[in-house]
Amino acid sequence: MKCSSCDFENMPGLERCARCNAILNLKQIDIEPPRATGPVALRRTRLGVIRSTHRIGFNFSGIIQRLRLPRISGGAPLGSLVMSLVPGLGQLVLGQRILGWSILAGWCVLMALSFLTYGSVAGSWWRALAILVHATAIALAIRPGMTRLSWRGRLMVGVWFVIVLNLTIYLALSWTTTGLCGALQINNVADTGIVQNGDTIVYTGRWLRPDRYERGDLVIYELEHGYGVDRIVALEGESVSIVSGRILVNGQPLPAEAMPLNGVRHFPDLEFTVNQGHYLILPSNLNWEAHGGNVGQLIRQMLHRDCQVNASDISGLALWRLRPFSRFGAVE
Amino acid sequence: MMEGRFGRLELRKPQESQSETRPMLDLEEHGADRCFAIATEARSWGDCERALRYYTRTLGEDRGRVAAWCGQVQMLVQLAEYEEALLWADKALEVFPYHGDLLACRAQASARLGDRKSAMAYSDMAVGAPGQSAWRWESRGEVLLACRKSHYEECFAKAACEPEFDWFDYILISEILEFYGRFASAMKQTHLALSKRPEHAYNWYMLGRCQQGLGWWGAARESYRRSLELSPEFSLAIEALNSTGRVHLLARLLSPLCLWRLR
Repeated sequence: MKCSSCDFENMPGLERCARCNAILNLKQIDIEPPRATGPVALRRTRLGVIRSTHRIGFNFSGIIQRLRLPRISGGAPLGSLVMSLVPGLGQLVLGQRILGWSILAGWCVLMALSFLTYGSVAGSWWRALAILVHATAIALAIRPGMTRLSWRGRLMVGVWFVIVLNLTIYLALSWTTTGLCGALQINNVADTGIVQNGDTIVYTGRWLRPDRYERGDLVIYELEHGYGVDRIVALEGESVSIVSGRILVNGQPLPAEAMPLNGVRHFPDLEFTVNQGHYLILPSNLNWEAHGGNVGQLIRQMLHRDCQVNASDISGLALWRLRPFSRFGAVE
Repeated sequence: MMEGRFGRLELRKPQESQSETRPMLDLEEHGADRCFAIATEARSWGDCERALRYYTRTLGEDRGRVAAWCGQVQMLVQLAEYEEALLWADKALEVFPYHGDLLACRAQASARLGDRKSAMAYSDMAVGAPGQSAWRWESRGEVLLACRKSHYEECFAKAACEPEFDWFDYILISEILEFYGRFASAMKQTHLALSKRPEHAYNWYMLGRCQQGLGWWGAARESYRRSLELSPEFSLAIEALNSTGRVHLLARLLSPLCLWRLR
């Protein structure tokens, strides 16, 4: 039997070529190629990932080899330390795939949890745990270089990593995040359809905050004790009058979209002009019915003072309701 | 393996039938040569599914045809079924253990799956195997690209020096470069293909893809339109033209970021 690969004349009865080990009986060979199964979308996504990893050069080991970084005390290369800026990558560089991916996945989960619980105590705890995982990843990446240290020395190095990480990467991350958006738990509001007591609201950070607010903007502002959220009713220099539960700004009725969250029917009759550099916000949690509608001059003066919010006390535009998760979504 | 790829095709001239969008082959005869020619023709139009079917039919007629085995593996790679391509390349290598083109196909499949060590090993074997072909050097270029090594352009230049190198090899190289995000280099290769076969709609389609990768949306649309002028029912170009109109503004703004890969 002649081999179709190398043309060697084999003895009859052989299944494979004696010279090149090729299959001799071609008729037995299946010619239908295997085809990929599974959802097309999944395959497309996978292809996209493969393409992008090829395009960005997802070859850590190659990068490190090219960098020719020195080794730490004869142990792990400095590259693994550099790559450990993202937890787990240091291990991947060292070829510890399972450990590397586990650390990376764990850290991602913790960071996701800290973002989901952003603005609460739990958020801080998740963040602290993420920092601990990160510090552990770095310590593991340079472990070969720390073999000479005692356990106290290693502990000190670990603590030092936690502090340095917190003061550098995570502080910078936190600063950047608050520049984009902040989150606050609101406790000083009346329960309305839009905001309820205990809601965590995401608001525009210092970089996205508008220079001037408009009438009707839903803002988070600083109160004497905590934070409130409500709409801006009037801008600086405008005259406002509240008469029998109706509100007029510059003599015109206030449009519905600019009305305070809890309405103004509980407010006493008032008249004032908004000071320069201030906005008029009528808090939703004031309940004048408790006073039987008898409002003295002193309380009117307090209202004049408290309802006019300095522009610098406004934290930003309320954007998103982060918690409770059952009411997760845009505020308006 | 690319021997006489288009040389022996009996294509009708476009002016013979205006309704025909692309030259079609007589499907009645299904000899191995005929099936192989249809498969190659389908491949030149980017119709990988059809090409794969006809490569399989070719093998049904003649299992000893290495080019059809290579074609199958290449089509599976083009269809992004890399694991299957790898499996099939291994299967083909059981029949033709030291065939350079099959080894090159195996190297390509490994490279696409990110197994760079294996890709390089198979590519070394392919180049060292007896015989010569442009495809081995094209595959070598791809492996070097995947391994982030320089000199891949030399491999493509070496492929161009092979005697059976034809216009479609420029497109093969262009597809490889495009896959790895080397859009400018891919465009150069497509221009070379266009200089040889300006009347082929697939060349214009490939040019459009490269331009799209570079963020030249207007030029890409123009190329797709040109492709459709040449072949009004060319589905890939129709799809691409429609998709360029649907692309989100943000994606358009971000696409020039790929320019950092320009080399």
